[in-house]
Amino acid sequence: MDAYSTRPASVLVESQRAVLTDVLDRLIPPAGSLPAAGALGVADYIDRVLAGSTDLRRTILEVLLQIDATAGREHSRAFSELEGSRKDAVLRRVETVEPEGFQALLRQAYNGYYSDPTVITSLGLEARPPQPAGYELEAGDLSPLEKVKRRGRMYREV
Amino acid sequence: MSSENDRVDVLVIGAGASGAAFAWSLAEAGIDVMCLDQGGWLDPASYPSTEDDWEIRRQTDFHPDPNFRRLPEDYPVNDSDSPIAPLMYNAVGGSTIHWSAHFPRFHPSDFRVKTLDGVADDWPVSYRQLEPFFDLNDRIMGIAGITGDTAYPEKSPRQTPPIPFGRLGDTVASGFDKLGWHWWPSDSAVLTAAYDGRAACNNCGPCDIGCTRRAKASTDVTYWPKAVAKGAVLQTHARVREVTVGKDGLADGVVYYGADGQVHRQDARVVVMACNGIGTARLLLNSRSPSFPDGLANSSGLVGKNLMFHPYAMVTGVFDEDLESYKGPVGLSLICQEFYETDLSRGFVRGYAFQVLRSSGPVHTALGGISGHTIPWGEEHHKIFADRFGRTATFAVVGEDLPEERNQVTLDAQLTDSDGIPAPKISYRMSENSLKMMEHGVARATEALEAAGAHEVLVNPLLRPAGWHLMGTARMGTDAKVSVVDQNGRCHDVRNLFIVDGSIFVTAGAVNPTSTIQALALYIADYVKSNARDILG
Ligand SMILES: Cc1cc2nc3c(=O)[nH]c(=O)nc-3n(C[C@H](O)[C@H](O)[C@H](O)COP(=O)(O)OP(=O)(O)OC[C@H]3O[C@@H](n4cnc5c(N)ncnc54)[C@H](O)[C@@H]3O)c2cc1C
Repeated sequence: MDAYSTRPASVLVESQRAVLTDVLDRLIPPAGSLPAAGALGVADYIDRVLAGSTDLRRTILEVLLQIDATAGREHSRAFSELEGSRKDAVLRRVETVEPEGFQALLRQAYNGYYSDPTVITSLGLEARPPQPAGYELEAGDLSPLEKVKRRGRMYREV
Repeated sequence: MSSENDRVDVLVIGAGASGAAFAWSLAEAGIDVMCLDQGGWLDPASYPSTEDDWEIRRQTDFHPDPNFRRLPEDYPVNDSDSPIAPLMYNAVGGSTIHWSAHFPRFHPSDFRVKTLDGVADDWPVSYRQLEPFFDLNDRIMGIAGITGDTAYPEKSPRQTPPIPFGRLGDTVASGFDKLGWHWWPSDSAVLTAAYDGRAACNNCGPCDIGCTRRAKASTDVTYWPKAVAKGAVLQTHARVREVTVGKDGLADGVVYYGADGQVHRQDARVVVMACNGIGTARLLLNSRSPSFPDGLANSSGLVGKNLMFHPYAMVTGVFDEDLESYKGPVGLSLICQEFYETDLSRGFVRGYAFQVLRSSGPVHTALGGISGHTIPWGEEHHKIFADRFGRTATFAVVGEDLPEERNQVTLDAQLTDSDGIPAPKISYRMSENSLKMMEHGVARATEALEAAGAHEVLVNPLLRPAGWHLMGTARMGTDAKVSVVDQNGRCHDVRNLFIVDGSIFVTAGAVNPTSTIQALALYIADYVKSNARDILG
């Protein structure tokens, strides 16, 4: 059995997945122990989201198309063949021309990246939902309220 | 189809904040009361805060905006003609499933704006009249807080101590102290100690996706179990299409779609609307008959008019130190009411409050937090993320927008819910006065955040997904020509039809409304109980 057999129905074909992975690596590049979003596999996350949302499917496939088309038009190359700063220039162009679609892609990139346990742990957090453990919180200092009280009544009598 | 034999004495539509309080009060007195809600019971144990994808669920099936959530029990809202998008939840507990449980009361002056400031209208009830009902409601909901707030007349003891401040609260309070401004720990409908069979909050953070511990007072865990124990009948997945009237011009029941998708009828002696400031107007406007061609109880033409939201500006301070701002109830720490009461030298009438909000998890931070400043992608991304995560405090500037007839709910000509009931359409504009007020609020919030040590301040001058508070669309008043209900929540036109939700607000104040909505619902319930012989026959 290969690893792909457990993957749910895929919306992205290989060429789209490859562009998306390259785009993700530019949106969230690596830093220290934090991986780049493409290398982390956020494309798989987005693929699963697209499998469940036909609205988003249309939007995001269109943005990917625009990214490759812009690279072709402006640099006569496929997006994946461009070097880093050129890739960013293409993405900025698409961000300006297709702001809604681009923001939808960025949202999914951030959703996938920042809900990944590897990233959460690298941020120094526990990779767990808020419940049932919750958090300890310092009570805080209520003594300054005496100062507020000394300033007297704030409301208007009627 | 039900017959005369099934007629209930009191039929409440809507099981949210107001409907629950009202139904409980009547059931307590042994009155036969039934409630219909289009949503169902939720199981707190299965809320998203126990799941790894909790930050995603907020954007999908737990989204506060029904237009995004699109669950079968939701109805869409056409909000394209409004800078503010209305938010709500449809289930037993209504919007309190999602709410942040900020629990300030309206001020005494809020009920007397015409007398004091010469604008809008006075309410036909006063703070003092509502006070015993504020107190009663506090006891059932369970309020964390501390008495002595100089912005209010003295309140009854709070049920549990205030929500812990954490580093964020201490830091922000130091800014207010430097400027000599008012601040106080928020009154919160979130328990900090066990109370009435419910557990204390464990500061997990995202109150907005439902509270698994039942520490947050959504009415499915406060009023409803008590009301049902006293004999109230709560029928879920019952979506009311219209309130019907008999030959005598009185309401005689409702027509609704049940879980089976079929039309049903429920007869009642008295009908009570509690569908919130949009849902109630929608239903009245859809309840047309030869005697009420413009919608039920609408001889004044004011059903749906005078819609009020609170405009919210969000001002986020970024601090050097780690404030751990993702810990603790997201909406709650403290409130500043320095600019609440009118001071005309500021250039506007009426005022605003600051609610100090915490932040949330990594996804929320990357997407820009509550002020919506998405962290840029690319080389700078990680640096800016590290700068902000856990290090922000946000001031919500909550302004009082005065009532205007052009701000309204109507029925959309095309859009419907899944049962074909016309959906509401919202039209909304902010007045010059409100714009000046918000501008002032943003400047003062910036000043206070800088005084507290913020090195950067991010401003969203008007938050779009901020229609949490829905008010004014069936206003109270003593004159039937310019109001929909009287001082007891009773419709001028249809004497056995009551409205108990935020629709009946005359003005909006500049604080979250639910404490006042529920106090008013209990006040009206008290009137019905005291006059049961006359009202119920
Ligand atoms: C995300 C969020 C955060 C909030 N935070 C705060 C806060 O911190 N403090 C505060 O004071 N307020 C807050 N609010 C507002 C607060 O929740 C509302 O003011 C309050 O719930 C209104 O009570 P209500 O009874 O009028 O309506 P709701 O609680 O909205 O209940 C209305 C009920 O009516 C039902 N209904 C509607 N139409 C029909 C129909 N045709 N047939 C059958 N049933 C119907 C709905 O299903 C719903 O359950 C918040 C709201 C949201 C959405």
